[in-house]
Amino acid sequence: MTAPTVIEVDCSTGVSTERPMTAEEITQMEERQAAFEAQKAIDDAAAAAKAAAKASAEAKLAALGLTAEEIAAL
Amino acid sequence: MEAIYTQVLSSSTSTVNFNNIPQTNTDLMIIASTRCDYAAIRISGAIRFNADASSLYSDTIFAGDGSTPSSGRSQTNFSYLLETTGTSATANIFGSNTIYIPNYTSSMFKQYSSDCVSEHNGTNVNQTMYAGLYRSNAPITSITLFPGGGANFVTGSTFTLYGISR
Repeated sequence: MTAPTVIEVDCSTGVSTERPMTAEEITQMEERQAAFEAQKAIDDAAAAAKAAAKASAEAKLAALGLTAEEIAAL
Repeated sequence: MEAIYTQVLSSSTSTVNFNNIPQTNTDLMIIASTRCDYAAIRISGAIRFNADASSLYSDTIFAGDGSTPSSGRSQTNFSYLLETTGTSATANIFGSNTIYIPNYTSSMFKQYSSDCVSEHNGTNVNQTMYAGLYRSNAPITSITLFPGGGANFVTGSTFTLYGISR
């Protein structure tokens, strides 16, 4: 697998170079990746729970006799 | 306003660093057109200043995708400030980002904001506004940009750093 790279732009000279990530940078990136995936799992679960609660509430309102237009207007 | 440097990626890279930023302007602006290799329609990207990986960053997000608005806050060792398309987005479409960093040479804490859209020819397009705070008194001399999820910016992504004097 190709090592991740970093673009280094020196704004004082206008020179841009590409280098491989250092071991420390790779570790930091992997830590960020793990944190990102953990947060994404939490967010996805929360979104799924919210969608399920919305669908359940809409079904209960429909059972009470509200039309789809009336439910959408709430 | 002057363009300090434009970086166009000719291959994938994990991180773009702007170093030795001139201290001769009052504000900085970054226009970034970004796509990455993360398996999603969209993913947030992040910014870090002065290679500072301490937990001095906080950001607030307000987003809409055409159906469900959302908002949130985070506080960590970088700031989310970009929207980038991923591999599930329509091919050849890039996220559009405008980042504004006023008073970057100040000895006060640094506030910044961005206006971003992930772009996609379909649903799940996010229009996002970020506001961030870097709780450091140091002038900003370098900026690091990277996509979330350990992804890489892909070929064709562009980043232009502008200096603005008021």
